[in-house]
Amino acid sequence: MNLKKLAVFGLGLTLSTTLLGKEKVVFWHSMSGGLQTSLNKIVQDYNKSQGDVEIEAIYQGSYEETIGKFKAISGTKDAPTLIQMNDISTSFMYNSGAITPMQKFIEEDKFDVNTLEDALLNYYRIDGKLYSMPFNSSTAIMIYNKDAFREAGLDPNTPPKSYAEFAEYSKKLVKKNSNGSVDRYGSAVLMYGWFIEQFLANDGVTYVDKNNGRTGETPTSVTYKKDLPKILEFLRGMYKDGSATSYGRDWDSIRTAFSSGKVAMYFDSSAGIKGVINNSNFEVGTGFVLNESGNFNGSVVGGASLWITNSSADSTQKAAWDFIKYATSKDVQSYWSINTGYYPVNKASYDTAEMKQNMEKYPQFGTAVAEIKETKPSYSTQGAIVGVFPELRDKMVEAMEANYEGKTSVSKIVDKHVADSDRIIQRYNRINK
Amino acid sequence: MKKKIFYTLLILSGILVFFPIIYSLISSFMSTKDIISGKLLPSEIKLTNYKELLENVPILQFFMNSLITSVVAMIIQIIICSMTAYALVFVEFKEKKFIFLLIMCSIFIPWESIFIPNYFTILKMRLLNTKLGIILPFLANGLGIFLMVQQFKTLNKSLIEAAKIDGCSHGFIYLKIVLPLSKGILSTWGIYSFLNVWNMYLWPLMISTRPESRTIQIGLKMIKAEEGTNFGILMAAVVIVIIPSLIVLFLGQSQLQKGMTSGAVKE
Repeated sequence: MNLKKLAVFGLGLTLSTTLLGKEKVVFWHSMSGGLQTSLNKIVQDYNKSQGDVEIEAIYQGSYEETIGKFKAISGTKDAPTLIQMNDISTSFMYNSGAITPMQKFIEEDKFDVNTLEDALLNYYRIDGKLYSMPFNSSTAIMIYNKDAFREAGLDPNTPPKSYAEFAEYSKKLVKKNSNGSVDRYGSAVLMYGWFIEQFLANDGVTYVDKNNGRTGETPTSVTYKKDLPKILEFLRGMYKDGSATSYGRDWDSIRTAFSSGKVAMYFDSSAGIKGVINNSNFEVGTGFVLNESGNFNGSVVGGASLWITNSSADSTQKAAWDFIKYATSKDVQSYWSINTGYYPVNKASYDTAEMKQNMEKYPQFGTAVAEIKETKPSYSTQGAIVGVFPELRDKMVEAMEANYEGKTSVSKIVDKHVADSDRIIQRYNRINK
Repeated sequence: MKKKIFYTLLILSGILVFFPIIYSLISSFMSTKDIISGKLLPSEIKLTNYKELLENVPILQFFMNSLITSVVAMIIQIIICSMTAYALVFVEFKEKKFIFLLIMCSIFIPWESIFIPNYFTILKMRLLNTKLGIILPFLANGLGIFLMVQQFKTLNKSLIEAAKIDGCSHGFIYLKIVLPLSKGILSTWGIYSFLNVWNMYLWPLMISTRPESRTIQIGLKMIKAEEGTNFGILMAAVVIVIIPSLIVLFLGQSQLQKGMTSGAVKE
């Protein structure tokens, strides 16, 4: 009986939606935890704001898991219309043949892309065209414990800017207890290739050849062989004098260590900053990413963008585009930024009252924004476009870990790392000719 | 006196082994700030983590999905494995050894290597986003059949022969004689298969793109966030997730101990 009722109800529901002509858009994303709550709010508000389109946002696991699923399912009726994919999968998505370029909707709709942050357009444009729409954007920042700076006699308002300075600060920030064991380390770097990429970009070095893959040609090798050693030496120096440590590959571990005062400086994604500020019992400071000279050159944007797939009907794709316009509008982006720590992709978001209020309350949010604004546009700061980026990042992590262990010389690690990376790129090029 | 020392030691090691679960329970009432600052006890007991969990993730739906898939998979596995084992031990037919060997071979194929073919099979069968799609590859298990064969072989042959002489059918012998005498292995295998399906992550994640067929382990992952995990809520979810496992283990513990050893010894 109950089942029957349910069936009738379900039938009625489907009928009513088809009769009303609501366009249903399935949206796959990788936002978990608090991010998911904020994203769901945006989707709900959008669904309520109009009667033509209904977005259904469904979490699909991490970006890697989502892309695996998408590869298997694209082209079938189960494929989503809208999909969120991380920065380094841009090249894969672009080559997949499964997407409709965002540029098409932009031109049809005469949408003004100049409302969006230039650095993001720079990053996501391939050959001058936008294939996806930036949605959640972050960059790397340094996070430090201001109270620990004061304790160590350092100025809490001037974070270190160069590798040498950072190492010096790190040494001063170490605190040992009476029996000689370390109470607080000076610094730590997460075992994650992205941070090395940031250092390299800030040094003005491209990641791969062919202008970082930005001019349409396929990269064939990595280009930082000369520059990686000094970064690894800098890290190894700190590991050796005991001022730096490692908490492995897990973001939660390094954040927990920082918030509980076990380490005074570390690097994080700007998207993580809100949680860190809320969980720490001390004043949290933020600074720019490092480089050799100490003169900031630029950081690479990270985060993810929205892609429209060509698996669904044109009308459904249009509906998805309508949602994208909403999601990147200034009010939605300022809500998103305030609640997550991603910086707004819409320039006008900074002028909203909520955003100004938030910046006053959490001045730390401003660092990522300042980094993006002060970034000097160049191929190196634009970030690399290369099809096997996730694998290259894994190789970088291996190099970082070998460097931490300290059993092999830096030059050997770099040689092996560069050879491995080149092999991966060339293998990919052979397969995808 | 000896007994006293013995029990104190037992209690101490019990607490030690049980500590992670106790700590999850305690920290499920704490705020993330409390947890990170290393407190062992919450400053005040609040249910906010549970409330937020229920509001943000459809955890009850996931819970029911997990429960249904695990229980169904467990029951079907017990039925299929025991029937196969019965046939392999008590029924005479040609190529029996060969079939047994073939089944044994399946144990040596790592799950990961057939993951993708299995996925495409389910995709072609149009079973994506269904509970059946999640449990289908797990309805028979070579190891389960092997263990049951070993157990059935230990049963007294004369008992079965006597039953046959009395005119019992295979169905009757299977149901009334063999199964009741093998409770240990049946419940051991039940627990094992239940936990196995209950704890799966990657397979249900791949098979289900919609919340209607998602299992609870995916719910756990949804709570763990890149931008900083709310450990209190995560622990609240963990507590909910381990309850069924604990109940199943608790109910089957005595049988489990018997079953662990029974299959291994052959007369």
